[in-house]
Amino acid sequence: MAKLIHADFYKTFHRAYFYILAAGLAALCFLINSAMRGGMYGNMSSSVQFAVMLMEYPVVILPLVTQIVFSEEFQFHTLKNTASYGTNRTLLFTAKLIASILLCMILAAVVLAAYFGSMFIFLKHDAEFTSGLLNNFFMRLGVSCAIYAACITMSAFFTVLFRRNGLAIFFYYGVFYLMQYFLVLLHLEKFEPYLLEAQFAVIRKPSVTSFQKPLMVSAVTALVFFIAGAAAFRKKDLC
Amino acid sequence: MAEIGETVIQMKNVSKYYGKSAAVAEMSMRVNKGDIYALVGKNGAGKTTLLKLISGLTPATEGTIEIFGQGSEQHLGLARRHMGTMIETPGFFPYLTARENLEYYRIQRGNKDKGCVERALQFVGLEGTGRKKFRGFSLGMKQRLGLALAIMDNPEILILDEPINGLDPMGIKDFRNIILKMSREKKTTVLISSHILGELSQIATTYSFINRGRLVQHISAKDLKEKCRSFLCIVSDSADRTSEILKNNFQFKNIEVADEHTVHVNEKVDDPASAVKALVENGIMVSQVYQSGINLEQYFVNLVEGKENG
Repeated sequence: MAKLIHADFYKTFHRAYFYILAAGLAALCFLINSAMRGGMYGNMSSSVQFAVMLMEYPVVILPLVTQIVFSEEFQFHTLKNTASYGTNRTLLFTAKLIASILLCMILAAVVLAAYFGSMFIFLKHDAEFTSGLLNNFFMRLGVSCAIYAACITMSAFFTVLFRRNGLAIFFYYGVFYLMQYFLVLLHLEKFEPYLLEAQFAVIRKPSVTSFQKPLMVSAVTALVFFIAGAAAFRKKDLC
Repeated sequence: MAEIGETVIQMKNVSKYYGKSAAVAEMSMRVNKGDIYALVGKNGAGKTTLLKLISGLTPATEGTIEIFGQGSEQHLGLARRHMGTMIETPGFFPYLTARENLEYYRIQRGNKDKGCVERALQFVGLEGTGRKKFRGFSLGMKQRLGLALAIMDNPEILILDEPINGLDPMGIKDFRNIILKMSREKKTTVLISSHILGELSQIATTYSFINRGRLVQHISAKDLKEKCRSFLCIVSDSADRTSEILKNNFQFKNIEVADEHTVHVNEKVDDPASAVKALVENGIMVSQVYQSGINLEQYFVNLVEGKENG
């Protein structure tokens, strides 16, 4: 498992795309805090609170990482080199999933560093910027990371299912953003609170006592898509 | 792992269906250690599917596959670590160099010998590609890199699917020499499919002819050579007398009477003119003398069309 993840890291760190993605996200962080400067919200506590509102948006970027680790292997027909060496396919799927999650964590660290760095550069320190505020922020970020992991698993499943990156991303966005409307159409509104997107609403709420539900929903979603993805990958023809 | 002559790959009644159509149907075959085993068949005959089944790239619908005597999924996985494969077009990351691509697989396979990458590149003549990315490689260079990956871990079995497609004559010669070198020096078993039958005939020790997903014939190179031999055909008014005169005057031992007028001399005839002269002097009316025989390509066509010669 470690060898497979190591190889994916080797490949990804030799790719300009990953650095461009990280640089782009970091630049976006600078842009946000730079734009907040001078206004009525031009202080650190407002920036942290704004960051909580933005926690849903990385979901859009996650398939790009899955694409680097997973779908380009279908595109370039490289999985056959790994599978024909006798590598267990479930192990391979799991390793690629973990590699994707770890690479997203690296990107998250870059984004956080850029966001807090630019915050310290551009914004004023205010009285509400306390350790309590930061604790609350990182707790919400931690829960968001669980949702991101579930999203990566879902993205990996669609990549294995369709092979074509475009179709996989279309279904990923469709399931994430449009599922609530399908549930309404099917008169299954009662399941809406268990969708991944709905969990970000919980994270955004100013006063939340427990994040148990988002964590549970993320875990169950990740498990379902992991099992389905691994099963689909085992039966896939690789060429 | 295996001794010369031992079975290294065995398939029993293996079928692969895509929907209702069988890409491979009830295929049974055995490859022995040290063989250079050629798979011959038309496009769509099932050669690539067969190699994919052995390599674990596609699961069989029915039947069993054993590699080094191991048939369970877990053990097959371990056995496949002693195989090097090159199926269809070589697949590599276009934004990596040849060295980086091999390094990726070295890390992935947990091969601690860092020198294996350089040795594999040298073996196929790609050591000088430097910082050139895979996307800029010619088809021949891509094929060479595919072979470099296949041989990087010193496999006991090499599985090569149409490996000389896109290679220039020098590349084909190099490729042949590499395969022969591995076979002779490392006793590597080679399972190879190719459309270029003339090329196969220079290296193969065993042939399997495949048509419509089925094994049509399995034959050793020696037996095939015998079947594809060339012979002198003499048509006269009496085949028996012609045979007798040739045996007496020229000491030919391998003469076959094909029918009442036709004789086949199945050995080298240095001077056909003197043979004809001797026959005429003995009162034989010779109507035709010609060299006949079939090559591997004709043999394959005849076999597939159900008109096997001999």
